Parts: sequence; structure tokens; C-alpha cells
Amino acid sequence: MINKVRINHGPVVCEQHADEVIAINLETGAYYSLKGAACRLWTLVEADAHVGDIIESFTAVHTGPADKIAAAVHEFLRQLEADQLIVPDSSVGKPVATAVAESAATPVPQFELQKYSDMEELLRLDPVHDVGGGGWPEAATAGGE
Amino acid sequence: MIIAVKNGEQFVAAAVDSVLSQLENDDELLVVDDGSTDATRSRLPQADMRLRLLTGAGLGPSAARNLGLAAAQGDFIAMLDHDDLWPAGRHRALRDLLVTSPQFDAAAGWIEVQVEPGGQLAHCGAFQGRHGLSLPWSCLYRRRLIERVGGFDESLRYGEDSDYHARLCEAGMRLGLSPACSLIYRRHAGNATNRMPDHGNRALALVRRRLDRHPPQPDAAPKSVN
Repeated sequence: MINKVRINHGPVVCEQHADEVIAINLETGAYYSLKGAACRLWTLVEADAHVGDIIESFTAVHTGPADKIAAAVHEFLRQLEADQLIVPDSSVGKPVATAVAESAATPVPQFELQKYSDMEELLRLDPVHDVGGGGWPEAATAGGE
Repeated sequence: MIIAVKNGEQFVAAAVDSVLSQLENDDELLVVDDGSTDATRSRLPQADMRLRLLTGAGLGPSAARNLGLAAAQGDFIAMLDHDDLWPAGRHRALRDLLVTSPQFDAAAGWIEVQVEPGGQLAHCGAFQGRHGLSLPWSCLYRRRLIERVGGFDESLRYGEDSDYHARLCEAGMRLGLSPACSLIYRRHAGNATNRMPDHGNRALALVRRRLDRHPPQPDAAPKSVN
């Protein structure tokens, strides 16, 4: 079981607006919307939280059985990893404050990963070649500065 | 056919020539000068009746193109940046595709990327040899499609081409692919795209606008985990 994950930065770009995270996998061209509990989980991953702390954060605000909450968190992390949005991470991680929020409406967090592939052509245009100022292909053979 | 330009004296003549060499007598080329202070106007052919010069309000490329779209009278509409070129045979290939295939709203050929001295290939290398559908300048559109979608978003400083393509797709554009090369995309030191945000940030801006404007259906029922 994974103990620590991180956002797959590089292939994945993301931004958050209010209670929604938009993430794009530039290698596949798929983009994703994460709201509610999914957004909160993503935020915790970005904050370098250990999986155990992520589970604890949801356990603090959901009233359901702890094992079901943990299972939901692990399953959602599995989905995110399957879409290459997150990857296992060997770093120690950082402690995160337990979510101080009003109790959640559901006993167990409802994670939703909405995936869209309607703009693949536009979004994955050049991820492999998105290099720095030297241009593409490699700077030594490129069209010059 | 529409070319919007501002201070394009270096490249505009070649762009205009590449278009006029392919247009019929009853075709038109609208050049929208958006406030040039260099020798752009003097670089334009002065006696070709197919060319009409319009004056933009200095509001940027999207507004200038929209001025051209509003003035365009043909059944087919194409756009070109002043610093790019039409390869030989481009217009006939795309027009013939639309004439023989009424089911298509637009036609697109593939793109050749040409790096000029001082130019950077950068992210544009991915266009080479591809049908770069997100580049409107590689396409030929039926008027009915453009009328359905409207003009470019004049609030965008970058990515207005990708945004326009996204809106065309949202409108149900059916695009036919031609085996012809339809655009010579020139990379030079003065490209506006040299100063653009990186691809990731541009992609995020594009997606944000897409979701705000007309959220599509997710690929499948949202995967709900509880």
C-alpha cells in the first residue's frame, strides 16, 4: 500500500480556483476537474502530506467507519495514479494540520474524478518537446537562438 | 482571406504574395492594418483589385481579425498571420476538398515549420508535418461555420487561436483533412509566441475557459468513490 505520493509535476499541470482543482496530463491531453473531497485530497497531496495524514484529515470530519474512509482514500489515490496524475514518492512528507472544518455531509468522503478528453489535440501538442530556451530539437542542432 | 498585421514590414509582402498568387479574380484578400507605424502599407501591392486594405482600431490581432471577418464576403474564409506563408497549391487543395465534400465545414492541411535566422523552434516543432488543427491559419472554413461561431475573443492576449478552435469544435465543426501542406509556419525572432506563457499555463487557461464557457460531458460517468 502506498504511504506517500506526489503530484506528477512535469507531465501534469494544475491550478486551483475556490473549491475546484483543474489538472491536465500534458502527455495524454486529458484534463480533469476535482471538486469537493477530491479537491481537498489533491490539496493535501500538494502540501506534501503523508497518506496517513490525508486519511486522518478526512476521518476528522467524516463520521463513517475509519476503515471505510481509509479505503475510499486509497481507492481514489489508486485512480489518480492510474491516470498518471500522481506517482509514489519516497520523501518523508510534511505534517499537515487536521482539517478544521465543519463536519462533512456524508459519513464517508465522496471522491469524484471527472475526466475529459475532448481537447487532446490541443493539450498534448508538445509535451515531450516542451523544453527550455534552447528550443527543439536539442539546442546544438536547433534553428538557433 | 484575411491577414491582420501591425508593423509587419519584414514579412507581410511575402505573405500577401503567397496568397494573391493562388486567388481567383473574384476572390478577395482583406489586409487589416492595426496601426502600423513602419513601412507595412508600402510593402503591399498597390494595384491588385483583389486586395482590400482595412484599418483596425489598434485593439490587437483578435479585434483586427474580427474586423476582417465582418467585412469578408466569400463563401470560404481563411486567415493567415502576416509572417507566415501559403505553400503553393494550398488554396486549390482545401477549396476542392470542401467543394467535393459538402459534409465538411472546414478543411485543413499539414504544417511545415520554417525557422528563420534568429528564430526559435521551441514548442512549435510539434507542428512539423502534422495537421495542426488548433492553428486556424492552416484551415479553410465555410462561411456558415464562422457565422455560427462568431469572431475571436478580443480579451485574450495569447491563445486566441486555440480558443477559437475549441469554440469551433464546440459548435460541431466537421473538419476534412487534406494531404496537402496548407501552412508554412515561420519561426523568427519577432514571433509573439516567443513571449507567451509556457505550454502548461496556456493549457490551463484554455481548459479554464472551456469549462467556464460550456462544460463538456465527462468521458464517462464520474468515478465516484465512497
